[in-house]
Amino acid sequence: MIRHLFCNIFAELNAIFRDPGVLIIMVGAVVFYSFVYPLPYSSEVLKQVPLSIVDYDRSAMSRQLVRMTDASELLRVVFQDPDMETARRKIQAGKSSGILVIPDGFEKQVLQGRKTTVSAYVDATYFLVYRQAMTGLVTTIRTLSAGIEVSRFKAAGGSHEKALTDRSPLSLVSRSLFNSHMGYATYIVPAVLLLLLQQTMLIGIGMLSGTRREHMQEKKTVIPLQGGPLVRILGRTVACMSLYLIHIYFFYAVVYQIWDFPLRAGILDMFVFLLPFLLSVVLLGQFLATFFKSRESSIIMIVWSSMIAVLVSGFSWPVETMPHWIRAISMLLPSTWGISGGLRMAQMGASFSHVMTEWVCMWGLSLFYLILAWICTRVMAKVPEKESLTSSKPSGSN
Amino acid sequence: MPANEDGTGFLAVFAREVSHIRQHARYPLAMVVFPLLSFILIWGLFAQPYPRELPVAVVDLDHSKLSRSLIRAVDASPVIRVAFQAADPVEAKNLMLEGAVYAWLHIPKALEKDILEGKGGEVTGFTNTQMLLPGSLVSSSLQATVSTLSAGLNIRSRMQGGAMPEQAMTLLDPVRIDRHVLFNPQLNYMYFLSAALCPTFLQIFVLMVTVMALGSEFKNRTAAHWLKTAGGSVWWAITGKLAVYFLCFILVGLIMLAVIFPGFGVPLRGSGAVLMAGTLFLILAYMACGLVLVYLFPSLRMALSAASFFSGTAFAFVGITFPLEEMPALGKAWSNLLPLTHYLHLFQEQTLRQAPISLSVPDLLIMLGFVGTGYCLIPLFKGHMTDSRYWGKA
Repeated sequence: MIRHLFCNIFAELNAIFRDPGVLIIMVGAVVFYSFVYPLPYSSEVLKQVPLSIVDYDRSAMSRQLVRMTDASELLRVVFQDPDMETARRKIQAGKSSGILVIPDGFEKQVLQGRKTTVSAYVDATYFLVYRQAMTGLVTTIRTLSAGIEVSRFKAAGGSHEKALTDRSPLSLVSRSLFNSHMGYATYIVPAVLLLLLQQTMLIGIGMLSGTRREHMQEKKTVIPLQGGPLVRILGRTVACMSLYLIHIYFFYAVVYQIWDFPLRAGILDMFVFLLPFLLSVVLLGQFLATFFKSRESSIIMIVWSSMIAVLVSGFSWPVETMPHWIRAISMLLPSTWGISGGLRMAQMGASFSHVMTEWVCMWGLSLFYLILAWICTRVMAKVPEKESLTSSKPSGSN
Repeated sequence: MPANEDGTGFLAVFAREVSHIRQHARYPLAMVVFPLLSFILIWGLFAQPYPRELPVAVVDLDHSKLSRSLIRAVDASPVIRVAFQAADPVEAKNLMLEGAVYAWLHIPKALEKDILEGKGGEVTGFTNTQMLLPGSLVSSSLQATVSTLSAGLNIRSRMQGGAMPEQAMTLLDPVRIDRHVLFNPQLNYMYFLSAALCPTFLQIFVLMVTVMALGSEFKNRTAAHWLKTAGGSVWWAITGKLAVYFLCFILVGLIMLAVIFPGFGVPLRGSGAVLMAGTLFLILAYMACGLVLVYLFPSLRMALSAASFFSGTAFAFVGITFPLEEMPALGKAWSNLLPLTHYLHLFQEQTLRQAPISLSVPDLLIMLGFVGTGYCLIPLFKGHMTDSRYWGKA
């Protein structure tokens, strides 16, 4: 039994490292994607959203407002348009993302000590752009307004602070925790890296199984697996997991450093937490692999499922807003638990007790998929002859 | 019709492909079943297009009438649900680290007293911005709730006689901002995301199936038979084969549009005809990309790996979640190489933005450029089909 296990581990490692196709997925893709995926988000925070100004006032004060808007780090004034229609067409053409309209008589009303209103029109086709542009505009106007307010109170000889607390007796201070500059790469990439482990592992195992099946039919030389289904499953599990433990080290020690993501957990803790994650993924892979008849069949399904795993995992769309049936599906995916707990440990500095639910659930999934993989491997082993007749017919040759 | 007398040509290839598809379950799965399942999943995911009832904790150290009404007001906001009352900040932070809440509201001691004495009070919202989307929604909702409550307190205190002079009131807040949200006023996530996700799924299947269908002929050493069925014409061989997939994906594309517009209720403010043409070009453009990949990578698994990279990462690069303008030059260049980027650009223009058709013409032309490139490659496949060195590469 032990001898068979070691033989199988060796046979599987041999199969991985002798097969360039598998290596490309299980090593090449992991490294490649971890540098490519953060690329679109590498500027982290969206700044300098382009704006149009429609200035009907053309006064010293309106020009001051335009300068302040342009000086805001979130905004950039790119057009001064004569009217709303022109400015609106520029938004439709995607040349700007918002319009600030300064009404006629703006300066006059301010100087006369009255209230005045400027209008902001912001494109909400893209939510991130909308949020940054609106935040930038509101902040700029508040700053301008506060400056005018202070000088008015000075002129009137009153207490500014007293007036402020009277107007707004209760205020909220907002504090961002864990991703304090609200970086987009810091939000997306750590989750995607864990997903990358899962999906490449699933494709890799699908290919390994498909290759074994194809090679056996073609009577090519492969190191055959020995022993019963359990020993076969365990051999592949150990081989794949040992390779992926290196990837985990690579992510937290190299990728996090290069992209400058905060890491608030020890790498050893991450190993311990992600151990059942890898285990459940390997076993899920071996369960799925019994359905793939050729090397390539797995790829389409796994690429498709990566998108789905991201959408249902809960980091991109809150789980509270998902219907129960989607939540139920997501709980069968190791990535849901791995991302949820892994982000809280690595990004938020959660201790082991905080992620115990996820950890236990991943062990549960491992057991679940071990049983399924074992059943399927047994069934497959019993019908090899029938299998070879029905699968992988050379296409179109009849 | 391009059928020769000996039963070869376009129709023969077409018939051969149909029988090939019927023998391999993976084709109907990838062409019809998976795309439809994806649309159903997206529909389910965004059926509630605004995040609601996101759990939040409160740490109430004041235990006053005011703090209780603040908590009630926070809980009444549709975005937030006060799920926990934590005794102290440590407990609240633990709840956040356990993933039970997205934020906690800290209410300090003597808040009510300070406010009644006219000193003003401050509460603090601690938000988990690692969860950027729920975090920022909760944060802005807390801000809105506290402002509303504050305004109410102000009115009450003035009615109770501790009024500040009307003159001082006019000195306050001289410039206000009037906010207008263009094109998607309710900030509906269904309009924003689901409409972009459906074509993203579609392009995965078009590209992968095209590569699989073309590449397996070389892998399985059936390319010569394929060419023979086409009567020796590389044009009939490729167009006859791809016509089957094209017809099927047009059907799936129409279903997609039916799901997005009548189904999801996304407003179609521009031209439906342009959108249909765009969808048609999107499918053709990805078939052309499939041709390019199979031409570049004679080994099927390499072609499929390249195709999975090209289609699987596309959503990150198309500029929906993070704008194109802010990407580094390499990211921007890559984005422009994806037909999906141009399709979604056209899509946003013709649906939400109600842009004139002329603005979407360049997008159509670019997609047509992809199609043209694929078309020009067709004659080059003759070499692959007749040279056995290109065959049998798994």
